[in-house]
Amino acid sequence: MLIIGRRVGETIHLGPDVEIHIMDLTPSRVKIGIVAPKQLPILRGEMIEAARQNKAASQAAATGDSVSRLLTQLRSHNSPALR
Amino acid sequence: MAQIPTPHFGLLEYDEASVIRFPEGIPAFESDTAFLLIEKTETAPLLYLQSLVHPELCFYTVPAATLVSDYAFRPAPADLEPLASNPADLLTLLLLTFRENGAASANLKAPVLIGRHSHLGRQVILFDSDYSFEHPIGNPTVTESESPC
Repeated sequence: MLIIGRRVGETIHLGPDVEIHIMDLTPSRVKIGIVAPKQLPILRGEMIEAARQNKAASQAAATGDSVSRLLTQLRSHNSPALR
Repeated sequence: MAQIPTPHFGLLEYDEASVIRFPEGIPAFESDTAFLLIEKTETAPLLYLQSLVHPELCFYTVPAATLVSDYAFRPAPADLEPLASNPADLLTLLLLTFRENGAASANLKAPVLIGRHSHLGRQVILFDSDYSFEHPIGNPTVTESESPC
């Protein structure tokens, strides 16, 4: 991975067609502007992760035991596992 | 009444009116644009999200309220508007994944929203939340056969 430090207002160019602009910066968040050809997909990382997670969910090889265990947890009043 | 053979439920008969349309599918399954939501008394409160496009595709889901008492998210207008005019008309489901050790996890980061009246659905990703894609439910159990030594 190439790691580059930039300040607000500075840019990074990827090839001839893509520009990354650092627009704004706060302690918890950076605002990034992207100039790119329309056909280049630009996705937040979570979209890729969401796809991966959905695939994992679709392959759920749930055994009778694991489903029973889940149902017990879901039906118990105090749902202990989720805080 | 329509029919579809499925690996999970055998031959399913259903009313067209109960079909839930997902115009964009969900990530990784963009072509699955029609589903049925199925409940079986013996496995309540689980709800099965059964694809009508690919009969082998069926998700285990649970209404968010059965798992999280304070699932704090406000659907963004862009997410809500196509589905329902009022957040109270939304059904919020969490997709479940069974892991290798038999424990299940719930996807709190990307709930599936369904409009009760519109019968339209979509999966939204809560980008600005700290919720997990893989929130564990209960404690995993390692059985004799699964232990590494």
